[in-house]
Amino acid sequence: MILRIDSSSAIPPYEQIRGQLATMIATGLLPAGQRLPSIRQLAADLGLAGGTVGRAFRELEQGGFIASRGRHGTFVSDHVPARRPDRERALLEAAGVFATQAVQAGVDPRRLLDRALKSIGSNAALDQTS
Amino acid sequence: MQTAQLTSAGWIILGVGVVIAAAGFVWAVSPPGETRIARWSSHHGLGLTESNRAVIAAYLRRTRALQFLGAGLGWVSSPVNISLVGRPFPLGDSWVMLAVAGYLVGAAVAEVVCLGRPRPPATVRAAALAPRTLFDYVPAASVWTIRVLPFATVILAVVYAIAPKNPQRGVDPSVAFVVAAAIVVVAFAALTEWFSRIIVLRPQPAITDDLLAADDAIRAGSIHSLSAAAVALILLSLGWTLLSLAGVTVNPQLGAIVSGLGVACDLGALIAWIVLGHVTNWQVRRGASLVSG
Repeated sequence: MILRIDSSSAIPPYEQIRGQLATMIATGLLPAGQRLPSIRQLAADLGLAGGTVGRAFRELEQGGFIASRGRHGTFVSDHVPARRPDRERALLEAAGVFATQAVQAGVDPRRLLDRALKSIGSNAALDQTS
Repeated sequence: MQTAQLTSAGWIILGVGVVIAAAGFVWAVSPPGETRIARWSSHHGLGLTESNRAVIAAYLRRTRALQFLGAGLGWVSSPVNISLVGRPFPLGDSWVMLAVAGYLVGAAVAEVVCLGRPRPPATVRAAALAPRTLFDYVPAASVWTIRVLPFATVILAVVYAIAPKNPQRGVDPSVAFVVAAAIVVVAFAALTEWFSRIIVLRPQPAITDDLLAADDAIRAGSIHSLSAAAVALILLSLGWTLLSLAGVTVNPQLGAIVSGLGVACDLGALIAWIVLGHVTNWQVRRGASLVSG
């Protein structure tokens, strides 16, 4: 599971982290009880300040998505609020947010989606699953 | 003040050590062969690909060269010091200990070089959502040995301080020096774990699965090298303390026992260094596919 931060985006990095993690948790891609990397590790890997990742984690914890267990680390919460059993529905919502932002920025969302799929090499995987 | 100079045997040992270190250095700086790369990768359960082979080759070349250079410099440091100053280092004439210390410094410098590299510029940065811990990269036994063993040195230093001494021999090394050495060993162990954790937390951009696996294997290899040298040094320090105790105690039976234990520690240091640093197979215990997973 990969977290991606676009430094050229108008969305602040902490919000990008929060949004991606929230979507992964809500869709079940990150299951309950899954241990997350430490703030220090994520900050180092993404080249961000610890406070930026810390803010995203704090907001996720306040939202009930994750729970800190002291020195044992941070885990996906067992009781995620409004967990949706239907992954497609949650992903559709996330795609809606993406499409809205793209249109507002004057960019064709389909073209961006094509580029994103190519960059992660998922086209082949999608062909296989369809 | 006592002066010292090298004996003929000392010069021979020095010469042999320098030749071995020089040969090792030449071997280390030469591009590693396919067999060597394959063997190292096999030790770490790493599947070699076109892209990660070059990364592994560069890593082996850099680390081995600096480790051999450090060991060689450590080996010659004592005789050079004797030639210049006229007396050995305070910890004695343990060339092996100095060679292991030099090896450790070389391994650490190799990591510092790696840590100091600037991150390639990128608009989009990615990170795998898989936590990394020290125990993923090195056996728990090694971590706990480095944590616990230094306290045996402290306990021995206390025993050294309170044990009845032979008045005819004098107390050499002094109690204060043995206690200070024990505290240095504890600090050194803490420093080793801290540095190992820095290697674990070194930025790991999510790239492709094979490069990520190579990066993990390199981290494991580096931490194994550092841990092996650290365990060896701690055991050598323990051996030095035991042999010092054997030299001053008034009780001949206690002297014989601690002498035996001291020699066992020295042998154990050599075995630990070879087994943990160069023989142990270790596959990083993380998800097989972090990028595409």
